[in-house]
Amino acid sequence: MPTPRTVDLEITSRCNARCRYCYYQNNKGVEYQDLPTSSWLEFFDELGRAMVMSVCLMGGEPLLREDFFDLIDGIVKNRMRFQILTNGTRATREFAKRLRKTGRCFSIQVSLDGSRAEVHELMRGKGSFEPALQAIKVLKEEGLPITVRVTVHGSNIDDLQATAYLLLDELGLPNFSTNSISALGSRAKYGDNLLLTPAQRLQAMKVLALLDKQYPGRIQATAGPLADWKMFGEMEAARLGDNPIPGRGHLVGCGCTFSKIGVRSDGAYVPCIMLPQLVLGYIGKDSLEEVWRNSGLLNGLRRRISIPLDSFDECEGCEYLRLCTGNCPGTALSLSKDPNRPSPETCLRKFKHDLGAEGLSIWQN
Amino acid sequence: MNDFSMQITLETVPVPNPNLFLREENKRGGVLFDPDTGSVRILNITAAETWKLLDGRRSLAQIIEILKQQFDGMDDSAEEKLLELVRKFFRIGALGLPAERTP
Repeated sequence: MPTPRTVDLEITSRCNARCRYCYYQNNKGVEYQDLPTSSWLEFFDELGRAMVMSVCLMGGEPLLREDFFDLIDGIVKNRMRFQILTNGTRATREFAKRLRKTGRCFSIQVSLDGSRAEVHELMRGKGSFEPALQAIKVLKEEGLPITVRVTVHGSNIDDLQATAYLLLDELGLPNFSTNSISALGSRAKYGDNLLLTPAQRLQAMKVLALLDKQYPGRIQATAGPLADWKMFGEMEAARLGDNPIPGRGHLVGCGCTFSKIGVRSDGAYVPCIMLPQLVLGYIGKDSLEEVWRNSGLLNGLRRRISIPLDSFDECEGCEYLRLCTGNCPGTALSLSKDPNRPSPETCLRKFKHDLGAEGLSIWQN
Repeated sequence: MNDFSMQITLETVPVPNPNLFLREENKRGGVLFDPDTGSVRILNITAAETWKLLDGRRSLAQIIEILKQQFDGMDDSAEEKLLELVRKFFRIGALGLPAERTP
């Protein structure tokens, strides 16, 4: 592919929230500064020439940018579609109407971690629940393609049922997605205290698996407990049936570098927003096409798919070797200091070991 | 909406929708993308090359002559296949007629 199909753009480093588990803040080696409007608009012209199809606007909190709709105009002018990740605090009805008129927004994701303020605000901060809930309602009323991201942590697992009911039954959203607290960002500040314990992770998996059955096709996950449940279940079934899963057994967990690239708020190209420390170049200085095609670092990440899992000491003797993908290079870098290693976060053997005997019996049942 | 697709002849000079663009991702063709609808249509190499020649100035007869030079072995059915492809482009809104032709 001569250019990426889509680009993730952290258009601002500013945020009006201080979520305790934020993956974005506190990453060593990352410059948290903003670019002027002109830099982004020139870059959008470059994206247009490169036939990029869509961008994802994130941050920080992207709606904090005073020139937000100037940037949107630049995206629309360059024949792209866009999606937005937001905490919803600035998503007023006027904003929603203006956004709908562009006709190019294909998704706006609002973060909501619970069915009520007491749960949501534990990690997201006091006063954040009502604005987020109001944003979801307004965006839906104005006909925008709204979705919600629920980040699962130790204190909202018991509220997931109520959250699903709120989002899917009361508010009538078509779906929502879940993940869990990442090892990125917050871990530098809080250590592992915010991450799910193995027992909590198993509990979250079971709750979400039941909800997935209750609301078929309406709860999505590419990471976190529900994604792990499905992945681990698939691997376990394949192991028990002695059936290798084609295409696995190598570091094939990430396909992002073949179709997508990220740009930090300071203009640094990065392979992915989960790898913010790996700078490939800078917008305005280095050509997107040149970086995309010829970056040694990026091409090295693409070659991950040829690295066999049996080349790693930590995978020696693993019964899941032929069934595993090695998962996300971003979490591998955070936890193992090397993106070209398997991520311990999604190691099924490690997960079962960490569960201990009691947890394992629950898992097996 | 009027369907002009059946009025197409080899003398027609179609005008491409300026909002759509072709992403050539490999040597086998590309994807025709409409940012207003998000639709992505995969074009094989012949369809992709045809799209690139549809510039609002060339007639279909001129385009088929160029394609015959580019691709070996285009037989007598090539004209009808081209017309059918162009009709499809019209039906999805990827092409239109010059303003003076619109009733």
